[in-house]
Amino acid sequence: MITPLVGAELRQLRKTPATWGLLAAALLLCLAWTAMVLAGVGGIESPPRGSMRLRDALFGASSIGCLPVLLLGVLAMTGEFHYRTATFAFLAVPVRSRVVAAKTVACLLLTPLIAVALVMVPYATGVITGAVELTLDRHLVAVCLRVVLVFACWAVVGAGIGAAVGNQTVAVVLPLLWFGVVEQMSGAYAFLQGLQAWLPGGLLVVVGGGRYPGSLPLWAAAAAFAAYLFVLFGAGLRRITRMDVT
Amino acid sequence: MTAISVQGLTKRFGRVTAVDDLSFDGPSGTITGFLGPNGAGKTTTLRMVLGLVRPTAGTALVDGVPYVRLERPAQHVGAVLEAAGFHPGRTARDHLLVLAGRGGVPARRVPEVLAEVDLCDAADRRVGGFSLGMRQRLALAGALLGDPGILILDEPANGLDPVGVRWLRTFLRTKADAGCTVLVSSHLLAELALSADAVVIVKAGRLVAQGSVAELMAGGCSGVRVRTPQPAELRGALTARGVNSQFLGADQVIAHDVSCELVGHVAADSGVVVYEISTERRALEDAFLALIGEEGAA
Amino acid sequence: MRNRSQVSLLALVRTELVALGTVRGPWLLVAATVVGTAVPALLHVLDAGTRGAPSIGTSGAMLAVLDTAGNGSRIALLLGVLTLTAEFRHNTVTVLFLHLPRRTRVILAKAVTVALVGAGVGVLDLAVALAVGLPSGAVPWSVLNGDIALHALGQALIYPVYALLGLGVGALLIHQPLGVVLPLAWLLVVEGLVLDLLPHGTDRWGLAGLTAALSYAPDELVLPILVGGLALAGYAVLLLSLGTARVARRDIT
Repeated sequence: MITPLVGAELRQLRKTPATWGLLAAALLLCLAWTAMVLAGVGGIESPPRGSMRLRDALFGASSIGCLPVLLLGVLAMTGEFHYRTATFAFLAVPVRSRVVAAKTVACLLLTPLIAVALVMVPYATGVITGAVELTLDRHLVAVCLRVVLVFACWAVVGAGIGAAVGNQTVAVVLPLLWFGVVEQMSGAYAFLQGLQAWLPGGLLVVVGGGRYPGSLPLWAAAAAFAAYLFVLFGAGLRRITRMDVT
Repeated sequence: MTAISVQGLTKRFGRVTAVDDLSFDGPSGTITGFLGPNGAGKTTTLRMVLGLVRPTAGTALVDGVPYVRLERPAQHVGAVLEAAGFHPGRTARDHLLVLAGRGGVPARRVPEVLAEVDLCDAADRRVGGFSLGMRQRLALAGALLGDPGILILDEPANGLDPVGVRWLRTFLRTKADAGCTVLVSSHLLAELALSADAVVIVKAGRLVAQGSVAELMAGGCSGVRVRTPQPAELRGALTARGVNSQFLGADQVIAHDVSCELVGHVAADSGVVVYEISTERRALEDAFLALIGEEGAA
Repeated sequence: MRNRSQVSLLALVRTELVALGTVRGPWLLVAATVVGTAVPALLHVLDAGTRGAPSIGTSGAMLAVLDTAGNGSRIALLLGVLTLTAEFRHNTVTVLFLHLPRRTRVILAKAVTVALVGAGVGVLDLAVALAVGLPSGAVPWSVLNGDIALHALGQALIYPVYALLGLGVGALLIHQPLGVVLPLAWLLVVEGLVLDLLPHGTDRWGLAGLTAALSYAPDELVLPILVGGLALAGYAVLLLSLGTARVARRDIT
């Protein structure tokens, strides 16, 4: 029963201009980051041409895709309420939790494509410009897998926020302000030392393979992140299953 | 004096011609019905008259000037275009207060129009919780704020219950009799037949017919319908008097191009028992469907 | 009752203030700016003197607390965006342009309104920062001089300018979610990336650089306050002009 639903949600995402807009934005930002990295080659403190560090710096350009992927999750979940098609959606599928699940799965299914694209485009640019050599090795595969995992987490966070909040405008603003401002500020205060490790952004860094002073071990970060998702989706499902669709 | 004047109005959206060289007038002190099948361009026309949509060609004048040149349009024209244009978080009273401020209308008009549309009890409720009928009445209240001399209404009866529909009909008639010009687009043809003085019929963006309701309803099949247990005898008597008639079912006869009085005398002279006798008029709906071609109805 | 002259701009601004005040959104945004100022200001005070943070009584601590007064400027930008996009979102734009068919005047009234509200919120947040800084001693009365006052005023002045920028973005984009995402994404992520690609010194003309100039950041790499303020205002005027032209030509179907 869930598979045709997921198919329908994927079709809906494919037909929505916002999806392509976000993907285009992700690509453009990624290319801009790539250009910035390549422009610095040969400079002081910049990775030298042909080095593994440069290759990793190019792979790092994919991290800019986290924001568009997060917004994709938000828009996928809130679109029904924003465009007032929830009536049709819940008439067709009265078990509303299935709709929520299908939308989340649809977003997850898109993330590998986005992740691979945002890893390979900067790398290909580096190869074409002669900055790095083309090497298809296990490290490349590991990077792709890690980015897939990170993007999947961000997409799910976006879907969870969309489910919990409902109002599309609020649902896009809140994570932007939270991750872009609040979490950045939390790292700046000694008084809040240690808090950053427990906030969603800090947890996602660890889940994605990164480390920083005071970060939690991987298992703890994953568990805490799962707890956040549980709360988000719990609140979201409660809201959606109980809401009156007028 | 012509309150509303549309001359050669045309609107193209890309390759789609929504309105095509449309011309008509809305004389002062009349109710003009604006009819057409779905997609005929009625709403686009009304929006061009109201300055919301730019015409590709032609002119639309209100009180002799384009709408956008009116200094305080709310005091010239009241319009109801859709019942959806409300902030759901605002109360009905606050919505009207904002409109009054924008229209340069004194705030004291707000309770007056709320009373006029019978929304006083709901004045301090959020519009987000209103029914469709309540929203429609609130939209009407907004249109009446400036006490305008012209009302332009697109499907104003949408969502109104029968009491509300009758109220609206009476209200518009009273306004027109007091000199107000009303241009109303509606699919409720039976309602319009009771209230409108004239109709303008459009199809595919073009004018199909224009005239008084009586003119449009004249002609076509009309006559005197008689319900009798002796249809054959009655028909024979009518034929003997040179009246064209035909059977309508097992117990009815319709006589064409003849007065009700003559049919009554023929029946009496022939000793035919009559259960019911009435004049059949061509309904506005029949005239409308004939003019647009039945296949044109969506 | 019949007055055939145009509704005055003052009356329109008054009405726009009523329109803003009668819905929840703007109040929530204002509350968010107060929280966004008060909490960081308190955190700076709590942090003072620990792990390299400037101690109470130093100019560093004072500037850190005063600078929190500018934190809500992004919210002011959102307020500007939402003021116009909400009309399209809830379809009230139809009746808005029915009552006020001269759309440039509508945008002008909204611009004056958001600038006034922005200025008010800026002053409010400055007061909040001072309410934290003065009692705690982070902002001592004794060191309040012309430069400090100018700095503080600059923080408050960012708000009306950002609100106008937001209104311009809202008029250009109309679509509410897009209207809030694009400027926030620009401020938080994109501007830094784009400016890094441009010749050195160009970053002074970005939003962040001009905002720093307006708030009289004492840095030789920052433009003088007047140039920064005029440039920011220029961006706002440009966006508003483009947005007004777009709204004026748009068919309301």
